[in-house]
Amino acid sequence: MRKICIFPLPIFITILLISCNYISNNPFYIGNDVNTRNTNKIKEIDFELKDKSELPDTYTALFITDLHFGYSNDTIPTTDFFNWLNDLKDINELPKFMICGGDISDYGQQAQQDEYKEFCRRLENEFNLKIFNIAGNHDYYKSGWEVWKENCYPHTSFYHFTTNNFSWYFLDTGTGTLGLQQYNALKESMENETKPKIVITHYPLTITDFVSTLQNTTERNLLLHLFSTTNVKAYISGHQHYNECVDFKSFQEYCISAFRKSKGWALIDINEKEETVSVRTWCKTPKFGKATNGEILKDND
Amino acid sequence: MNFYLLTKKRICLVFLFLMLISHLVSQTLPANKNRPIFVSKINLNYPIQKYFNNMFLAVSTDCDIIFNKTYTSLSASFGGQQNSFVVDIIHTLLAKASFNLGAAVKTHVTNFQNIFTETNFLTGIFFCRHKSKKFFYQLRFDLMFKFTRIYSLPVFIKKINYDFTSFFHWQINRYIQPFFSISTSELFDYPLFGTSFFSFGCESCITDSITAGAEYKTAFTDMFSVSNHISQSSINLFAKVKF
Repeated sequence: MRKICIFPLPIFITILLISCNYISNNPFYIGNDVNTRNTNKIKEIDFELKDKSELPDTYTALFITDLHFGYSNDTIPTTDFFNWLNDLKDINELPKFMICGGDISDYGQQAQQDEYKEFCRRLENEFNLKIFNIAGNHDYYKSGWEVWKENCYPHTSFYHFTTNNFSWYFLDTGTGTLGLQQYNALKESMENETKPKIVITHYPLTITDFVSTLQNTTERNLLLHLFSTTNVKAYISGHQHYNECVDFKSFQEYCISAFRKSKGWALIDINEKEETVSVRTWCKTPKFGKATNGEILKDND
Repeated sequence: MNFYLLTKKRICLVFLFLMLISHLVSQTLPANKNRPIFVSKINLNYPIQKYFNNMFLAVSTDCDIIFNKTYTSLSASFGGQQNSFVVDIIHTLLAKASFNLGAAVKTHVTNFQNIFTETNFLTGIFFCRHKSKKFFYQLRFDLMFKFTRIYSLPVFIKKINYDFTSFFHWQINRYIQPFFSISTSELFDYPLFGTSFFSFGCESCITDSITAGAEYKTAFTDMFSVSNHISQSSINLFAKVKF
């Protein structure tokens, strides 16, 4: 009887330990809750290029995600990446700005953010790129929210800016959900904005079946409905570490491969006049799928 | 009076109707050991920490029919904009003195007004260990097929997933019967695999046929890959009548 009575205990402990993949030593840390990260109101950012120049009608934005600074079993493709950027610089086709899609650090620690800062400094100095960030699940490990907020521009996880004709939304899904508060603020903002929209976040919406996507399907369904009725053109995420695209007809969902583990990155092609968005990917060592070298990412189904 | 309040009244009427039908059917059947057992249950779920499936005070009702080796449960929930229905059938394939092993199928349909309809079809195996009269536990593992139709999108979303449920029940005495469960889904909530639901509570047999109880339910979103946190919690009050 005693054995039977204590049977649930190991299950409970096992689940708690599994959840501590990176030994998140503080499962009740309040900063892990998305509602505590100032997501009740979207922060408006004034968009400005680093050199203060005007944006042309057609341009590209660089997207990299899942850098995992601090992960020791793999390296980031520094040489290939900077050579590629130098080639673009030579032909005067550098992206206008850069977006980092989260999982900057592997454990949410300051030393890992310092490595990222060094990496960014080179991008800013050599290629004149302004960098916008969103947070990923790894950035929040070990109570990393404060560290991320301190180090990553624009120092908030839920924000919005507008370019000539596009409206850009950056969402906080770093703990696997937007939460009701952020969803309501996003809904209000999107419904009052008629411009075509681009949504950037860490978690995919529908790609994959398991832990690499938004878990709550009611949340996911409400977001899909919101995006399809508010002129969203593209939803761009990372987290999953490989390239994939889902065509919802009114908009496309793109998932971009990991910078460190798949040696991948992407260029977002924007035509402000024609209100079109497409994504080209470079991926040297994909975990799934095939290697890419600047092909347009499309839905294979 | 809005639709939300009307549905609350409606569900109470449905519960009373189910109780009446169960009572009448049980009265017409001969009193032997093969007689089916009917259990009608009404739940009042109050959200403490609100989340997408847990935004409003919800009333739900279940009608369980236990007959021979088959357990059938019909459930309906009405809360705010979301209405859900569940049909769950478990058939015992192997019944021993200390455990039961069976096959299970479940269908859950939910409608979020004018936005989407989602259907979950689950099929799997069921195990119940009941060596002692004081304690039993149930484990269930299902393969889940999820189909979603969002009215504003021209595409149909299909997902294949897994579902695990465990339930532990102690009978300290007639009035104190604690229980708790760990699962990856709730009766009216089927997220993709990774979310962990915990619930613990206590029920009490008021008479031979009436049981009442309360439970606290909580969930961690995507517990396996994120910095875990409680994303929702609620208190559920329930009453059961057995015929």
